[in-house]
Amino acid sequence: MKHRLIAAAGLAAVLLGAAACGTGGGTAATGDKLSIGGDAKATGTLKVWLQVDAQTGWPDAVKAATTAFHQKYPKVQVQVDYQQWNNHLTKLDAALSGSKVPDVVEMGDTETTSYLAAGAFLDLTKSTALFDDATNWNKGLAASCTFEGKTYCVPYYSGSRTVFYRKDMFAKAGIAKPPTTYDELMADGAKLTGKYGSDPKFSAFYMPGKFWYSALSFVYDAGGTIATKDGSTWKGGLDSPAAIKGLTQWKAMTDKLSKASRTTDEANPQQYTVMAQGHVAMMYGLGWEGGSVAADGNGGNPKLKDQIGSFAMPSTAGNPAMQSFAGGSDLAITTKSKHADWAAAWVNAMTGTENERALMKAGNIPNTTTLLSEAAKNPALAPAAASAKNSWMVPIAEGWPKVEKSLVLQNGLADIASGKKSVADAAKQMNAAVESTLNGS
Amino acid sequence: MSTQTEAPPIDAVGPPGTSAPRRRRRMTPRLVGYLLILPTVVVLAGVQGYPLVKLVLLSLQDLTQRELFSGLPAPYVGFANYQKVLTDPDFYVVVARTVVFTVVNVALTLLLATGVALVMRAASRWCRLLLTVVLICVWAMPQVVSTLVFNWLFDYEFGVVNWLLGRLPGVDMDNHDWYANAFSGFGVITLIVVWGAIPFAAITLYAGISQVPKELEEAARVDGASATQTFLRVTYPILRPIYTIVTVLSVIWDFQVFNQIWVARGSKPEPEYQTLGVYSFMRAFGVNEYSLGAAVAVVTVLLLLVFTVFYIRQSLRLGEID
Repeated sequence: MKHRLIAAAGLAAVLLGAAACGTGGGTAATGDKLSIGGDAKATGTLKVWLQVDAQTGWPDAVKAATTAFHQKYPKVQVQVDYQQWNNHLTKLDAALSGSKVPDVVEMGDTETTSYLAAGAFLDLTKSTALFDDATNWNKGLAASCTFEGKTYCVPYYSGSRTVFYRKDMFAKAGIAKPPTTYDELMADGAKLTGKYGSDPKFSAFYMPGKFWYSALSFVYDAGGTIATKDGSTWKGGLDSPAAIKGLTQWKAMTDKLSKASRTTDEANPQQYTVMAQGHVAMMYGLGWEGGSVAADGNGGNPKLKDQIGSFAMPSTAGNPAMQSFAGGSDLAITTKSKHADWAAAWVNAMTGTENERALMKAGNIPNTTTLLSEAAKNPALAPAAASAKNSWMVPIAEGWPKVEKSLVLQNGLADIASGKKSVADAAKQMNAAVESTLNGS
Repeated sequence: MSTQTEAPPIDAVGPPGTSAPRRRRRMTPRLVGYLLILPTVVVLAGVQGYPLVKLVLLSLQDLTQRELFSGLPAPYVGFANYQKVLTDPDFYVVVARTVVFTVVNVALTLLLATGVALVMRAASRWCRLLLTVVLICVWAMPQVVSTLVFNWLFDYEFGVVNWLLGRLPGVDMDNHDWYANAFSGFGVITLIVVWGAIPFAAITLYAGISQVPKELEEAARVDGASATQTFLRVTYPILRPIYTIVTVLSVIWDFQVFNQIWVARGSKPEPEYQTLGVYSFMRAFGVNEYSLGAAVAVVTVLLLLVFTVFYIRQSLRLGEID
């Protein structure tokens, strides 16, 4: 008898673990105009979820936003929690199902669609005028905030990737100037491998196997796409000859120049920390990642100061440069937030013109076209600003976030990189999974 | 004791002043028993029963993000989720993988734990104390922490295991990726799981072994039985009830293993690393098909239930355990 009881208790513990979903009540979304005039007497806590990029890349801008917010609401506490990209949506789902929700949430611009459709965020259509220079919002980001003609979030920043390289290593390998064509890139990579190849950890170009933003840049560069809309259904493009050509080139480049793990991505470990260790000559990264390599703290290596340069990723197809993924982030106010006014005031402070200039300094593309033309005039930001205009975007479909969450692209690419599957087989499999998910089956 | 319903005659004739409270207690032992177990039943029903009922209900609904965020009721869809799960060929691959993983891990756990328990019995007092302290330390370590430690040991770039193996002549382990193929990847995960499971099994088995009468084993030895024979013919039959408990619990733990795989694969387990627990979580929370994930969880529970009932009945019949 005792043993049965123990077994039953153990069984019950299994069930507990599996039954963690709950339901929660919520208020209906209102599209009324918000007021951010300020209230010196208001007390409480404003909860903000930002991604970890802000913590390492531009902590001062976050502080400045909170200081500006406190001029309007001096007694409201601002609690900023930093989230990791790989699990923040799961955490957000769990939080939004309850009543203790974050008031402000940062969302990747490819992640928004299903949340907008599900009514997770407050309708800001009547309140856009509250935000600085809203009429000139970056079009790509603004589109990621729009669903059925209404606006549900505020563009925060965007970033495009360029190649960051070690100037000292290039010089020692006898490379006079950064490559401008793909052939030059591969030749320089061979020179670097020749010079530093005795170090078994050395990667001329660090390229982890699940770095899908990079692999798909090769696909778009070769003329391929992820999927295109044909009437009311999505037609997958990853098994097209152009896409397979791009993936094959990516695989060849990875095999020749990279010692990075085939089963990890660019954020795990953070690729800038790997470059900071000194065994990497080039990496394909966002502006803040390049800036973090030589940073003092957060895994950076201050000894590499002045040794990190950047150039646009050369095109395999002879274009001026390879198309970069139009990544970016938006800030949204949750529908269940009890302090939408405070939230809007903080969002405005964070995305206001002055703060966006600070984000630009950290290597980001600002959220308005006004500021983008300012960036283009700055020689340090010009390559990034130019590559922002030459970019690709994931399909704008309600099912897209599910494609990302299901990891089909990352896993398929890891299969290609590790040689577990042929490019054609993996491409076919990824394509089928993407197509069926986008078409909602 | 609980079967005793009649008060002994002595109470009836005893002096009223002293026997009254005793009599009252003895008159309703059955009721007292139920009253005593009531708090446990209430707690179990609330903490374990309610989530189970919710889980089963959820598996019969179609809950999406929209209902989750708005709190609107989700529509009932009958057994559609079960049909979808049970007609998915991937599901059977996951079940098979989980069964193989469980068998390997439980067998290794029991084998190594038996070894540790026997060593503990044979060891000197201070050595036994040291072993116990080490085992308890391992036991006390949270799974997430131990998995992270193992992850660093087996790290691709800077892992000490690769470095150590690389010192062997003729072995090149620089940038060896243990998770690149699922076989060696599951090898590492098995190491983490078994390492963490040994303390409970070893201490429980040692507790049992130390209760085996020495005379029995001595008699066997006098009769010329080898150490192996003594263990298999004398010690093991006496310990069978304990082995039953440890086996059932280990099966339950290993069958639904989650933390170790999840953390080892950086919260992005590839399809070839998905066992039932991970698969259910990926379904429910990875791609927001909560109801489908719930259906997988219910099926997992049923599979475990069938195994547990079958195994315990078998053991009861074979060993006549108390």
